[in-house]
Amino acid sequence: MIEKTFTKEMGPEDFHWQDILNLIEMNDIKLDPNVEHTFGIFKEDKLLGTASTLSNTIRSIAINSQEKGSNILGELIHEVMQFLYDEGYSNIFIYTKCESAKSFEHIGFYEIERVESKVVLLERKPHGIKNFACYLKSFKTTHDHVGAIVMNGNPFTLGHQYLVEYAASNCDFLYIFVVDSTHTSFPSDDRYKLILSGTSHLDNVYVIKGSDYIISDATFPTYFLKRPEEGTQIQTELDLKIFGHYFAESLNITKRFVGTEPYCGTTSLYNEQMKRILPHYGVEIVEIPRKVFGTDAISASRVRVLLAKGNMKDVKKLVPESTYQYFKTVQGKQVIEKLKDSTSRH
Amino acid sequence: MKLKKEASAGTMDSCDINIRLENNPLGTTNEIHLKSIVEKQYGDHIRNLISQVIDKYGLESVVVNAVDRGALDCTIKARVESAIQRGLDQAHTLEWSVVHHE
Repeated sequence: MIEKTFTKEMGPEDFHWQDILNLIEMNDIKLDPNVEHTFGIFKEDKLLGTASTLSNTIRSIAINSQEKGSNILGELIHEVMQFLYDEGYSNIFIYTKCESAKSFEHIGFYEIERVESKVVLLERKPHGIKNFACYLKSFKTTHDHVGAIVMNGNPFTLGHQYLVEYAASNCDFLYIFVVDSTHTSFPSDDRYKLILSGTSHLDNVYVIKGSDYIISDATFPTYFLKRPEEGTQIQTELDLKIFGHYFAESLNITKRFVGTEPYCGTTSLYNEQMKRILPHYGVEIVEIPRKVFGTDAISASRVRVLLAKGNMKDVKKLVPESTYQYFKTVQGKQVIEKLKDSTSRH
Repeated sequence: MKLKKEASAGTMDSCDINIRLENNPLGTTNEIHLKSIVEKQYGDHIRNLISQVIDKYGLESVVVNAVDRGALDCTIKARVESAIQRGLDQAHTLEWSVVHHE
């Protein structure tokens, strides 16, 4: 008789949790510290495989070596996909070692980009990234010197506005890609709208939602951690290769503007990597010193600290009028209330 | 006709086929992406079968991501049909007595 396998969500309190950690270690990988859910597939009480998720990405996947060649990987990934589809995600990403990429292609995943001998990012939608590149091309301009900024804008400050104005005056046309993440204090849609209204006086600027393909849980999950960790270097490379290969190529972008980053280790590492990688795609990096107010640079984190303290008088000096008005809306007030309870960075 | 939402049916177990359907964001053509352990022997046959069921429903511009583990023809048809029913939000209104299999 064939014994049926079953998959279940696991946590540190489970009897088999140590088995999960051991299995991952035996496969020469680590349990990604950022994961939200971890699953195990069992036959009776024997652990055959494990996989974890962070938003719509599957990572830290390990299969018992005795099961190689069986269909355990397919069964496990199918269960995890079902979970993610039920959560409402429409595309699913897999982050894995290069030598495992083929196994995932056999179960209907398609490669987006890889960092040779390190990692591969695959997606479930056939042609997902190519379709996105086509979508981008619908915004293509005929200008000669096209620039880009990737912006979180959490929330949009006078510092951001200064960066955008500087960039817009140093190229013919400027695209702003808004980071589409749920890990930020301000919701993605609100950040997008604040960037739109804060840049509406510039007619050579176009704002586009960033999608899953730029600084997202799929391409660069540790962006939202303050300290760079092992793996951050590889993630930044993956993220930037996708930018160069798909974003820059589709829109003919030749300059990417960034603010200097004196405080955050992760972002300054990202900026360094940009200078190393993007020139290969014909993109020049322009670093702009941050606008200063008082003695310190204007940054979104500085604004959030003031918001958390309830110091609206000082906040008003650091943000455009449109952002300030948003703080008075119901939605703005809700975020400020949450900020008062938390201390997260982005 | 277009799908109302993305939908799946079937598993990745042996002798089954997993079907994922979504609307094609570009163009109006149907696309079938198949991964099969019997691709060499039956790849074209499976793609034809899937395409027949889609045509029967008059669906246009749909993308199929199919992962086949050696499913029989009847299984393939049934899985594609279930996925379509789910994608059309008809999964619970289906009249089984009139479901027709040639």
